[in-house]
Amino acid sequence: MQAAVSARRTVRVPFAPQAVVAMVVITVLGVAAPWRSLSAQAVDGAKVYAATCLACHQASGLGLVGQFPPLVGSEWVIGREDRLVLVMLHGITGEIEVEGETYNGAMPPWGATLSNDEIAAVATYVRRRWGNNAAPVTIATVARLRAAYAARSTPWTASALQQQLPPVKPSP
Amino acid sequence: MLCSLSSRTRWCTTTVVFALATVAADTPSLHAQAVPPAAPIAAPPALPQSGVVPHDAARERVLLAQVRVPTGFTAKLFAAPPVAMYPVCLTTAADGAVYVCVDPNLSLTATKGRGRVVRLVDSNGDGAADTYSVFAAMDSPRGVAHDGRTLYVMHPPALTAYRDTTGDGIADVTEDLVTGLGFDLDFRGADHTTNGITLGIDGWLYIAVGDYGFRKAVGKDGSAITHRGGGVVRVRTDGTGLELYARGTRNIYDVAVDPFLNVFTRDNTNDGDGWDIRLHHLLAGVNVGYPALYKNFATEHMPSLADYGGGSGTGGLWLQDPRWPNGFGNTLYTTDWLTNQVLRHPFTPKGGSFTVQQDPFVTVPHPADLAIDPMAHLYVASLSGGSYTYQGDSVGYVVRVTPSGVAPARAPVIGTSSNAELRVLLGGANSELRVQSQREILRRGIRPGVAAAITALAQARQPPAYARVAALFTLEQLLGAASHGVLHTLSSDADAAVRAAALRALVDDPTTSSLTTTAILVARLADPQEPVQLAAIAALVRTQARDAAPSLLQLTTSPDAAVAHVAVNALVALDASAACLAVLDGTPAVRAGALQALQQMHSPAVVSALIARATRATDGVAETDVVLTLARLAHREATWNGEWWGTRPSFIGPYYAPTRWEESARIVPVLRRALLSAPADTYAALIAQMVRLRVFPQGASALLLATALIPAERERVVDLLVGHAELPASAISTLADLTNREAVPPGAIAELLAAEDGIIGGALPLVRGAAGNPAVRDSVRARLVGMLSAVPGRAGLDAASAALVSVTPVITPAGTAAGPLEAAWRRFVGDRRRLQELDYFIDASRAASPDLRVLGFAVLLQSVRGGRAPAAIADTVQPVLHDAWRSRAAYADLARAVRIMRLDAAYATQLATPPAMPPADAASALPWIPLFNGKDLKDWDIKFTGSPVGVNLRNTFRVTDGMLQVRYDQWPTFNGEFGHIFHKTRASHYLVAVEYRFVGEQVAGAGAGNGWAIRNNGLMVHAQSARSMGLMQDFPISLEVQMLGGLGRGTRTTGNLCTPGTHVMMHEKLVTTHCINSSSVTLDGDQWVRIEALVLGDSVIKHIVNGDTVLTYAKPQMGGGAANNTVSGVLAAGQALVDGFIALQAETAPIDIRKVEMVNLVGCMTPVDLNFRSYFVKANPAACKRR
Repeated sequence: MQAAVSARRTVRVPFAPQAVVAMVVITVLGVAAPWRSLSAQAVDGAKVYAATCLACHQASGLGLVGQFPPLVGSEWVIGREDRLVLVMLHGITGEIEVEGETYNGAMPPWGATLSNDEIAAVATYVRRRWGNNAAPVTIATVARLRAAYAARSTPWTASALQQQLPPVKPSP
Repeated sequence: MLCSLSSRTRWCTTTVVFALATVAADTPSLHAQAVPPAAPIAAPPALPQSGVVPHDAARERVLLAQVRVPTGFTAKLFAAPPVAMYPVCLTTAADGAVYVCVDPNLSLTATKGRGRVVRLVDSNGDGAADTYSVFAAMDSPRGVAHDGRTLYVMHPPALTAYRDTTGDGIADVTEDLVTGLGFDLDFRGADHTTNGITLGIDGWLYIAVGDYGFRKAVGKDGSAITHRGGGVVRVRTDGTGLELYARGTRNIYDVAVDPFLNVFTRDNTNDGDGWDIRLHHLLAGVNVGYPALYKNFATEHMPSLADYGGGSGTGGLWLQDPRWPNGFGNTLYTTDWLTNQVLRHPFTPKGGSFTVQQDPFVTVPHPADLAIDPMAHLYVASLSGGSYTYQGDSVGYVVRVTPSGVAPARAPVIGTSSNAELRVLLGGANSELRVQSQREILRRGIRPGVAAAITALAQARQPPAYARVAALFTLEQLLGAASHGVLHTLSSDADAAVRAAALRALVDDPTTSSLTTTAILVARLADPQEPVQLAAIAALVRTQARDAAPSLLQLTTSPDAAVAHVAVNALVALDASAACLAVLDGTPAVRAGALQALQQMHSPAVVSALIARATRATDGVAETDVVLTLARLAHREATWNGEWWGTRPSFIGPYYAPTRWEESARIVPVLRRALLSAPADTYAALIAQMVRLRVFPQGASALLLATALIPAERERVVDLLVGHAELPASAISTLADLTNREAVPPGAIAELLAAEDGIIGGALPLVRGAAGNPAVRDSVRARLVGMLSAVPGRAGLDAASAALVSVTPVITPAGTAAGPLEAAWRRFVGDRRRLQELDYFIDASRAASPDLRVLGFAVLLQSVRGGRAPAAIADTVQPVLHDAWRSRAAYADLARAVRIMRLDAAYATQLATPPAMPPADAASALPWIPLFNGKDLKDWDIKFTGSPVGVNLRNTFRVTDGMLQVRYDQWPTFNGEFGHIFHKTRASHYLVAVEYRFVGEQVAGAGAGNGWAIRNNGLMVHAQSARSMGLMQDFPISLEVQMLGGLGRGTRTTGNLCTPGTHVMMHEKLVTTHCINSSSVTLDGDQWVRIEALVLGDSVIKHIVNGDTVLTYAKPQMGGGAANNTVSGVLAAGQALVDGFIALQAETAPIDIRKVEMVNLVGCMTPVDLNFRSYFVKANPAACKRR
């Protein structure tokens, strides 16, 4: 039931940006203005990070000791992009090893609240910030993953993601 | 209401509004600068007591850009820091003022003196606050409610009424209404504590209590309550009537109360333990199941309205205003701190409860609370930029959301409104005004015509139910018992909401509730509407109408989950055991309801009655449900000692902390008999139920089932474990015995051990054995390893390491899924507790076992991972790693650890450059001069303690098979006769090598006091001569290059330095400890070891083991102890040791030495000379052969 609601919401932004602008409008000083540009490039990953991720993962990207894992140097961030995107879309729960330390918590799903361009922007941001230097994530990649895993309604576990999306073998 | 992500100490907040503002205002290319505010983090600046609210238009535009509202609504930035910072809760007053709780501590900081409530006024109605005053100051303001000139503030542990009697916007009278409701900052930050409050139309303050609970809360009338866990407490506005209203919530931040006094809260998740964001409907007396019921006893708690997965529930508000659009104006709103949303919940009544939806309404960073004012404005407190601690003064703001097109209106002035005007407001469609006008009516008291008018409002048919309910509760509070006539009439009103409210009002005041007859309430149990049934049940509990129990029992069979749940709890609250026992022969459904109630009644009478039933002679059919009810009663909830149960308390249930009580001893034998007489086909089911009910330890099933078919064994195991919620220490010896039985699979006992919270007394060997047993399931072994690693001190580390070395992970790429044992290994290595144990793992990195070395290196690598380790750790660990990278003995293990830990990239250089060639090649190039000729000892002097030079005591030193041997086969005992054999050559600069292996046992009679000397000898350099030693001298003044053999366990490095009568300098400091360990690995057994010392006069000395330099020091000099009974004057403290003799020890350990050789490093250093050698380090011009 709830999953259906979420699923409905998930598709609203990526595929119907005009509708979003029509629906989500903020009025400043009595003048209606779009809350953000239609241009995907205009989505600022830093802003999405600050509003969505920072409270737990911190401005430093180092997380909080023993509670929230670091993003700096994390295989989950700079490794396979599809894992990172799926974690953002559906959340993740249970034990997860990050940079040698095992955490046991829960990250909520953001697929319902963040659009594809926002997820692409913030994924790219964390992959290239604090000395991380992984390839950007495109909006198309997020859209593809969102569609491919549209049926998923529960958070991932680390081992499920690792089994479904095993490490890519380095080219010889 | 604050956020909370729940885990650990969660609660929200703090960092970056300011940074965000900077970012957004600057060019996009600067977005990488989204870092915390540059401003230094210091105490908040003192805010003037009152003044004009400063507005920074540019900054506020940026903040407002974070807020998204739907079409048809308008958002304005009402106030921002510094006045409205860290707004953790807020409320509005009837006059439109907004009270904002400021708590810079958020959830984790615990600095006193920071909290306050600020009153903000928007005098010109433009949507931005113009003036403010600091209404009152207190620590940890968490909940506020306004009432005339009074502001109720929940600031744990107190609920306080702050009154502004002068009207200047600053409280001048303070009165504590409740104390002890939570904890203060001396205990911990305001996390999982008591939070938001809401004033209901019934005159009660409903209070959200986080799951720390409260030890002893005391109201103004002296009434005291205690509660472990979360819930809702209510108290009257005068501090009387304090009571627990509902329980079983987790870390809730707020309560919303609807016009009919349904209470709602958006709860917080325990981050993956199965309790996610739940929306609860809290009726009087319900338990929503956290932590002991929700997982394994879910049918016993009130079901939640919804489960929303991840998030952080914060504020809650029933928003009612006629100017809000259809569907928006009379429903529940909640806020979620984590998902940055204000959520709207469309409701549909369903039986005793509701079905509910959730739609995003406003997007705003980290909303904490929300409130509606009389002019249709919704205020939302945002903790934008916040995290969990105080991080500067730029966090948060308050935003105002209003339906577009709402005409600006003036707030009604409640205090000067006429009675007639108040009555209109009381019946109006703005929920805040109904409450505030009611309060004013009550303050004015009984005035002519007022009661009649309000009675008319309550009784009229036309007004909506919310208005009539407001009127009837006003009447009840105003008139007391004199209102009962009207209330009686209304209790059979056509409108169910009015009927329910009338029942509630009739019994609200305990001093008058007895006037209401049980018959009236019981009649309403049969009301066609469930909300009325629920009100009647609550009323019967409130009037202690135990004689209504038979009727209540019928409702336990209701198909409506809320009604059935509340009915069972009512029977328990009424202690209606007799009625419950009386229906055990009734219909199965009623019997089930009765047993559900009975299982919560821990009384001797109930136990006696159930035992009688369970053991009476029947036709052989055991009353299993009665037996299981007794099983439930075998334990009760332990008395709370005030301990915080953490963010993930045990969810096993049905008790959080089961403990035995007075009747346990009578119950357990009944259970035992039932188990022993159970036929094989029902035994398994019975066991499963009893384990679930905590009659057995959680891991007992496998062992109980393994022994089910052999009566004697079944009896033995049942007797061992029955009645024990946890594995008793007394069972350990029997378990050890059972471990060896063929019939008992090793996994059965392992599972029993692994299901405990920790290792109980005496079980360590069993746990150790099971953890290392490949026949045990991996997941069970993994859990046992975790238990071992929690054992404090060396014993735990030894045990965990011993188990882990057999499961060293294979090298796989990052991101590979790990099995349970690999996960256990990695969890152990990455656990931050290891940072306190680094010395242990430095030792481990030098152990004899390669797998233990890998484990040690893994911990060390992890401790300095990412270059973020504190200096103290880096300074300790980096030199160890540095040495190991250059060590032939350790390199491979370190490299393996690096690859297992997937640190290949960080150590790419080291991995690409293994240590240089084997030592033999380099060494063989040097002109080694044998000191031992393989035949005799003719160039050597022997000296034993107590003997003169030249006496080879008991033929200890001997030459056999070309080896110099030390043997103790002729020693009957040992009395401190340490032996040394000195070569006759005095030297200053040289390289000396010894190849040795330890053999055999220590000399007889060495005793425990000489345990250190087992497999322990030494090569002494810069030694005094044998002839200069005293007769009774034990050790020569010298530097001992220790030859130490491994013991088959633990770490015992070789090539260590010991300093009899000497000191050295290391890292430019004089070292006076007697022995300094090298960085060698441990060398067990009788393997040959080549140990070398490079001695360079009184400058530098290095110890080399199998080619690895394992210790370096400088400036050898005389001094200190450990060379006893020297000849007077020989030991000259502080005198540099420039040269000396080479000696070997007989220090109680038999040893074979096959080679003693040296290279002299003194000679002609004139390059053109024939005698020149490039390896000379010290010139001896006399050695040159001039051309």
